[in-house]
Amino acid sequence: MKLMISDYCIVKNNSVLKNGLIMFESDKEMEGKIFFDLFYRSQINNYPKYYKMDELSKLAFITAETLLQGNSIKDGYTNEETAIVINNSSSSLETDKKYYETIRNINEFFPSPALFVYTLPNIMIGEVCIRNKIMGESILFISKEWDYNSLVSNVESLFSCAGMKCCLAGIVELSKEYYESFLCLVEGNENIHDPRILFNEENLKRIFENRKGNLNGTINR
Amino acid sequence: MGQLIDELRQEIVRSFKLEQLNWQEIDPEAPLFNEGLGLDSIDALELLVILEKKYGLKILPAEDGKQILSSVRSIAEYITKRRVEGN
Repeated sequence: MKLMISDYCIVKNNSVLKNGLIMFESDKEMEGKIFFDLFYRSQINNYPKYYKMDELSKLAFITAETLLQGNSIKDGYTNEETAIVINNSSSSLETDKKYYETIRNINEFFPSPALFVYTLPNIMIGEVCIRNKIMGESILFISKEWDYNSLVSNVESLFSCAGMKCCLAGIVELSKEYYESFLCLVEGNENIHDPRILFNEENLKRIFENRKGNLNGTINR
Repeated sequence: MGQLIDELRQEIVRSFKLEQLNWQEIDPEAPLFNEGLGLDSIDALELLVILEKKYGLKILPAEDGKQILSSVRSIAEYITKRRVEGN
């Protein structure tokens, strides 16, 4: 069975793109967290728990929301058939540092539970799963460099060995200096003439690094 | 007590990032958990940290915590009571 990319979303440089088209952008320079909140208030604004999330989870949340907009997973698959696989480099380091500030001084030792719960990067997966009721396999991998080949291989294993039929797959990365996210909606299809993009290393690289991808009639095998 | 209630309401909005709310909209009598503001167990722990950090108080005995944290007013009453007792 060949796996196809049905849709994808990229959030980077104060812009949100879906399937290569700009959905939202800010022409002003701003910190990631400000941009995320601006996008949320403008485009989503119906999930108050968003504000409790740390920045990494907010980035994953808005990327998944944009990806799945108008694409209800429930229509095609059960909650248990839907998986999520994310790669990340910096773990939850920015939140870890904020949490550390609440315990650094022995005379002002007040560990924050609200920060502590986000000192695990896979919590961002939890936030996306809760919102979208995803109950299939969920995995987070941390690596220094983006390994598209491993990402493809891991997702393929979930489809072939774990009974998954749909998967949100990609990269969500945030550090003090920058942020970027790239999530694809991956589905299986045995029709090799399907006009959606084949889910492989070459296409992932092309889409994410060139910000280009034509979902109509472009197949790279 | 009124000033303390206002202070607590502002602290709750700030600490729990209830950005969709104006602090004045928080009903001091309304339940904080399950209904009303719908705070969760992590928020309860955060409230305990706020009580200790800002007001120097630990809830004793711990079993009283559920009742004390049930509303903004009950928290304010507890803080006031402990202040009178000199704790």
